[in-house]
Amino acid sequence: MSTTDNIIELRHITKIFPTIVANDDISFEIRRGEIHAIVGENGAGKSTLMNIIYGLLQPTSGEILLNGVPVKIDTSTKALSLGLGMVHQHFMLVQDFTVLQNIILGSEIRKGAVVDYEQARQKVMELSDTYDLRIDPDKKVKEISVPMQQRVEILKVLWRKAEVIIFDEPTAVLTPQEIDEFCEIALKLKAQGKTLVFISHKLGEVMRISDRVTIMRLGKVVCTKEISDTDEKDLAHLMVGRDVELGGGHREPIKTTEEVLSVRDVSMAVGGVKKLDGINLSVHPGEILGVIGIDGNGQDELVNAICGKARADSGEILLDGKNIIGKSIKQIRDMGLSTVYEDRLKDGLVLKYSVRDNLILGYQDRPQFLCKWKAFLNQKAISENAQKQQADFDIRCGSLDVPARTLSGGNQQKIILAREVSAGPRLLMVVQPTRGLDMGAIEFVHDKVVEQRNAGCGVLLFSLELDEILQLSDRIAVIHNGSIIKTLPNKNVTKQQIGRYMLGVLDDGAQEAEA
Amino acid sequence: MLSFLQYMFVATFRLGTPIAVTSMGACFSQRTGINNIGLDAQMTMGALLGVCGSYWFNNAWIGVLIGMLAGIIMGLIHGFVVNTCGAPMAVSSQALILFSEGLTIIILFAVFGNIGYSNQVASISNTPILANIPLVGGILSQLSPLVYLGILVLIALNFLLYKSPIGLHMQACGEHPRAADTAGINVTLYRYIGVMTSGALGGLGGAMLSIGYMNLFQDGMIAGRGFLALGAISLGGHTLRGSYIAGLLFGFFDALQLYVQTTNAPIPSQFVQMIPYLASLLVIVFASGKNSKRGQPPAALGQPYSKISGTR
Amino acid sequence: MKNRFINTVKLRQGLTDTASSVLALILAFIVSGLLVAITGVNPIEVFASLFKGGLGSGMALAGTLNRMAPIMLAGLAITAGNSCGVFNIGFDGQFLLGFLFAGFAGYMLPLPSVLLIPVTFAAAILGAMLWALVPTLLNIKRDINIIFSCIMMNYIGKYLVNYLIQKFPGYVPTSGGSPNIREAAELPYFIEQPYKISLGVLVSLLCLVGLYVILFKMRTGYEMRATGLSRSAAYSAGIAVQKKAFAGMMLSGVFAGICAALELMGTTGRVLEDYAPGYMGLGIAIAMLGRQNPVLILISAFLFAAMKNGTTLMQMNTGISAQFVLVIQGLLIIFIGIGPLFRYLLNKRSERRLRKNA
Repeated sequence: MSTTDNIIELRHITKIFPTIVANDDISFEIRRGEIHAIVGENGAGKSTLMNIIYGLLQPTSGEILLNGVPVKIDTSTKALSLGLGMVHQHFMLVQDFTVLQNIILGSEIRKGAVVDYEQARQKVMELSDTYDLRIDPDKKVKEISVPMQQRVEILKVLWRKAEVIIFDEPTAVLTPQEIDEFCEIALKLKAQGKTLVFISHKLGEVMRISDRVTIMRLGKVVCTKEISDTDEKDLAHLMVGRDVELGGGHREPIKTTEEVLSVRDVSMAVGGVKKLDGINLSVHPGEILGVIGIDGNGQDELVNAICGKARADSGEILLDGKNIIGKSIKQIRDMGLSTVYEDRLKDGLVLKYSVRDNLILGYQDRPQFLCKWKAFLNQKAISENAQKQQADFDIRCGSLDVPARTLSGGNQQKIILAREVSAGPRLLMVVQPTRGLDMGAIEFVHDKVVEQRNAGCGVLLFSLELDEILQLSDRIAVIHNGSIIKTLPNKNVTKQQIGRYMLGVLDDGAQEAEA
Repeated sequence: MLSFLQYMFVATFRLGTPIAVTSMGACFSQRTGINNIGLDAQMTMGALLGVCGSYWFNNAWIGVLIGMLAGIIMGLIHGFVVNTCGAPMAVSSQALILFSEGLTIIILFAVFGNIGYSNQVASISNTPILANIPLVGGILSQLSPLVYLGILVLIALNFLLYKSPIGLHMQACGEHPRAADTAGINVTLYRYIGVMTSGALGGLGGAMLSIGYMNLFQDGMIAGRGFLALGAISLGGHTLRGSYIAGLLFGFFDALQLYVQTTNAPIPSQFVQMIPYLASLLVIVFASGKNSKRGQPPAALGQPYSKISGTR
Repeated sequence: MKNRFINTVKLRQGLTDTASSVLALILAFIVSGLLVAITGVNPIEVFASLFKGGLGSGMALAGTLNRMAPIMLAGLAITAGNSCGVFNIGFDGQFLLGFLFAGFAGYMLPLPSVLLIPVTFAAAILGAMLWALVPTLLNIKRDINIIFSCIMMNYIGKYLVNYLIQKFPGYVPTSGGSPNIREAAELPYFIEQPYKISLGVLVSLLCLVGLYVILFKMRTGYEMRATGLSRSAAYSAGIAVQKKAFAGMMLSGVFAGICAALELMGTTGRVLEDYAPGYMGLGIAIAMLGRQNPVLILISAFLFAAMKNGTTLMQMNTGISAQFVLVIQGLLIIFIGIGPLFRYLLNKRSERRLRKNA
């Protein structure tokens, strides 16, 4: 095969950060007009590699060939001018700008000294029609849905005449139906002659649309395979290097029908907009209830209403039979709720506090950590607690005195889990507990969550990852438009079925809330 | 009555324009994502070096330019400390204010041999050209050309920010710097332009007070006007026009204070001197009602931005 | 294996803090020296007389110690606020109100020393806290930018105090201030020989220890620091963050009040018009140098006291105005602020080295 068939060729790319070798002698090539998937765990070096190709990072050594010619890509501007575009996982869209402004940002059409929006609109719409993207150029980005925002991102790249489009985890935030639509768009782009690089850890989609796949592990390329030569199980094994069992393993049968949490007809408006509309759900001790839905359908608000950050307008939330509406975060915690928040860096940890101090955050007023009139901290007890948690949860850190910010994501999550679980909660609420973690850490988190379940704690799991919900839940509740529109046991359900519920479509085809 | 209105009109523009211009500059800087709180420092250096420049070259316009240059340097330092080094902006600002207070004395001493005030220098406190306009010419010619310059700056900045591609880039830097970066926009550069513009306008504001209104510099003459300019931004709903108008409003209070001082009203002078600060605070308190619909500061205001780092 | 007394991680942290503070200090001296040199004065002479005036003799040293008391309190006030994530830029106004209240109590109340001194302290604390309360409440209730309202309150406070001084019984119009406080309200010396050391020094040291204990040994301090370091994490953990921030501002106000009382009872002896000793700037500089570390706070307070004490000699010998010290302070804060840059450059260098080796 001649070199010009390869639009991008990577030769011995190595990237060394002060503490870690992120890319270690990476070499492979991407063929013109193919969909090339790059799979690997978090920390495998995929993002670093893509940032190098896109000019956001510079390799320590190695070279990139574009159409057979070595190029130095030192800025994203350079990458764009070479025909490389990137659709980021966290969309690079200015919320307060219109769709049109976002698309043309950085390469505007000018009329004298002003931006020529008229001409730009016309051209953008032509482009949008070519790929059947159906965008509304004058809406503000904050007003449009997630898949629409993704299309805006794609148009941004097309606007800059990209030949190669790098997609960073494009399906992470989409429902199964939206993933179908995304795959169609991807195939359409391919049909128009674009080359697609598709970074993902969702192997289903990788198998579905890619032509070839490159597997990375611990900064190195494991191998590149034709998609027809592999399957999901094979890929998973190559990615992790061993067989991984998610879902937490052995499960005790659920013994009781009493309810540790019952949410009854809870409604709540935020800033005048109704976000929760008659929510009903219940959690039994010793079970995991998984709440699934498209992002922004009221999950955040429900979490806030239960943990006490927001006050529900009507209905009741019973924790062990006692209404907690109107109670403070602290009161609710003292009644037996432990929460693992979604954003561990912002809500879960004081990053500059030591591991030791973080392990009592929120429990600093418990008698076992206090001495002398309950006004002073008992340093000895705090240290002992930290040592015990470190051992039980395998928290890996140089010393318990180092700031939590220096730990890896997995170990940070372990601090939070250790702290919240050791309080012996009645209800454990976990929100997106494995986001951004690698397989090993995910396995650990799943094990610990199921361990709590088996010990008789009720677990309320919020996740945007349908796979995770299916792996962990005893029952599944689907949230749509601020209501739980379906609750069903996790037996013989398909992804497509849940996906329909997530879009608000019930079995009989009606698009309404369950009575 | 008519003379009172005339007086208030002229004094409001004279005393308000320095605040308004400074406020506009800071609002502009905010739009690119940098909060410039140390406006007092920029105004002080602008006022002082404006006088120095006018003294050295015996030309007030060159003085204005040098004053603006001094403001730009102060803005540059603030931008460097806050944006490049990621230090807290309130701290940087306070440091610059201290620094300028001290430097003022040294410069005054070095240039004029005094420590409290400068010599009298060439000033530009009125615009005689306008005197020939019928009816209003008399009033308009009492205003410094710098007041008219301020209005031109407002129009120019408005055009730049809301119509030109550069303005779109700048706003993107304030709203979502990473998005701007990935679109090939140089965030650091635009933020420096923003904070330097603010420095230049702060320097201009200061020079307006020293050589556009008076003809000398006095230690402590800025007296918190930079902070009034800061308050004017939020009162003005984080828009350039709003900042300008709110700045004029605060100038109005200042004018009122001066007027009351000249009358023999039975109010203790200390309370009269308090008027600009108290009135500004009260205006902001009452304007901050829950249902008031005002603009928002940019989403990434005050967040230092650096390109991708670490392993992610 | 586990040594309870030597904690290597904390030790290393302390050493880096000290090193960067010292570096910033040196840079500040160099740049301010250059600025002086431009005006045609020999900077060596300036610094020499500055430190000779502050540290050159036992007498000077005692004077520096006595000056240190209010200066350290200013540092503690800013540190207390910073710890909870609030920047108390309203210190000057709070100081003045405390000054006025203390002056009034010290002048009016016919009490013996043992009672009058504590009462005067209490009055100062009350005045300062009242002035801290206004911007804090405006911030909580109406979401007013606390920096703006604090600065406005500083100016309002200044003119209010100027006015109220005239209302003292026995006020003499041209005296530039209130009448002197009673002798019973003047701070006694707790060491008389060989040099006089004021009780204020003891008070300031007690306050330093007190703040340290509150922040690092008590539950409430844990919660306050958590609020200051990550408001969202503290809130999510059930800590009443608004109360903690409020407490931080009030604690800052308390220290501002004590600072004012020390100034009044130890230095001025009466409430002066337009009094602006510039303690807020000193306080910020100390807080930045001190980084919540009591030893560093003590050292930097002492250093600034020495500088302030030395200005008279410096002015006499070189003609440079006392305000020169402000330049040093401002530069110092700037250099500490750009500290992270040094680390950044260092990282960059090591990366380049790695690239070369690879």
